[in-house]
Amino acid sequence: MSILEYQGTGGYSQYQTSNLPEVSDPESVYANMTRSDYDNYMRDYRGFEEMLLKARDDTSLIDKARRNAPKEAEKAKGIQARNLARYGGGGLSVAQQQEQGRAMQRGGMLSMAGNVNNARINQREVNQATMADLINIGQGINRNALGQMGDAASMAANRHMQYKSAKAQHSAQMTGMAGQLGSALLAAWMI
Amino acid sequence: MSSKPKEQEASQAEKMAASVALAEKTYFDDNYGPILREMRDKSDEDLAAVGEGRANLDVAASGIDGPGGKASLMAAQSVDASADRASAAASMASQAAFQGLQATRQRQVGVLGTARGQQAEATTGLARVARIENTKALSEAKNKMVKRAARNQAMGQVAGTFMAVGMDNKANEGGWFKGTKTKEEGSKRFKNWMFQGFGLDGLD
Repeated sequence: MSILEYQGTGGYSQYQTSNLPEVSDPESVYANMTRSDYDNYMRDYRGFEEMLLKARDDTSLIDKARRNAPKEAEKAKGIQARNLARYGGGGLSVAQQQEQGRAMQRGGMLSMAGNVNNARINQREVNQATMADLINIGQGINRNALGQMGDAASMAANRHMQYKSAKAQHSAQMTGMAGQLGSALLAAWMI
Repeated sequence: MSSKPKEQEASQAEKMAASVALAEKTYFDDNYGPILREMRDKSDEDLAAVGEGRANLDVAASGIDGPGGKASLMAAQSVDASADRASAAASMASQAAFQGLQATRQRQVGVLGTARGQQAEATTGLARVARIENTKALSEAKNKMVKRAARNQAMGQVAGTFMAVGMDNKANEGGWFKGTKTKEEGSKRFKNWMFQGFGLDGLD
């Protein structure tokens, strides 16, 4: 369904310009939005984030490599046995069969050592990449938090300054008024 | 003295901007929130398992068990083919697990980045899993098998020629190693064989 067809069904949006929500107090709506976003994050993503933070110490690749090598050796041994059975022993002498077994054993051990070593390197790469990405996200969060706090602090400082300035203006006005009143009284008494 | 100040009303533009912002936010929460939660749940999917399945297939299809992935007498008779197979399969499985985990983490970090309002990776990482690099072990085992097959084929050709020429000689009442052709006929046959062998024209 194209966007135009979808628009025609009336399902495009619940809002048109004629029925947009009315916002009488944007400040409190904004405060509610911020609170609800944070609640959503805590409910839906906090656990996920903590799981990901722990994943920087993950060892699943190394564990898997340790499990895989003997499993694959066993599998190859089975394939070899079935193939030999299929070809009636394949005309192999006992010595050749023994050498096959030894080659399997040697291969298995070498493969285990090599794979675990590679898995260690790969694991470190994945973990470090995850950590780098998390640090990037963390930096962004930190920057946002500092920005928000900076805004709040500068707004509070502005408010305080405005209050001080209004207070000084009020005091000056009162003083001026008192002066005017005093001078009027003095003039009335002296006349 | 000035009159008591009245609170300023918001302009029409301000009111409209606030209304649109609220509508957009509600729409975003209703429509994109569930998608991101769905992505969060899907990002736990074990892509390593997908990769391992693919790696197994790659090993089987590599011809390491015999031509076309079918069992062969040549592979059964080989002393080290089975060990090579085990080694290649284990290293391919490790490679698949590595790429699967990389893809999974990439997805998870993308979801978290989006949820936290940071930049998201616009990739599912599945494409990466589909392109598991062949490990050195698989390539080596494959090369060994190709060489083994070529050697066997060459030996078969030599044996075939030996049999065919010997039987031809016998049929023409010569000895197994002694032909009945004259020197001229022999050189003509050799020339023809050379042209056939190298795919050249000009047969006599």
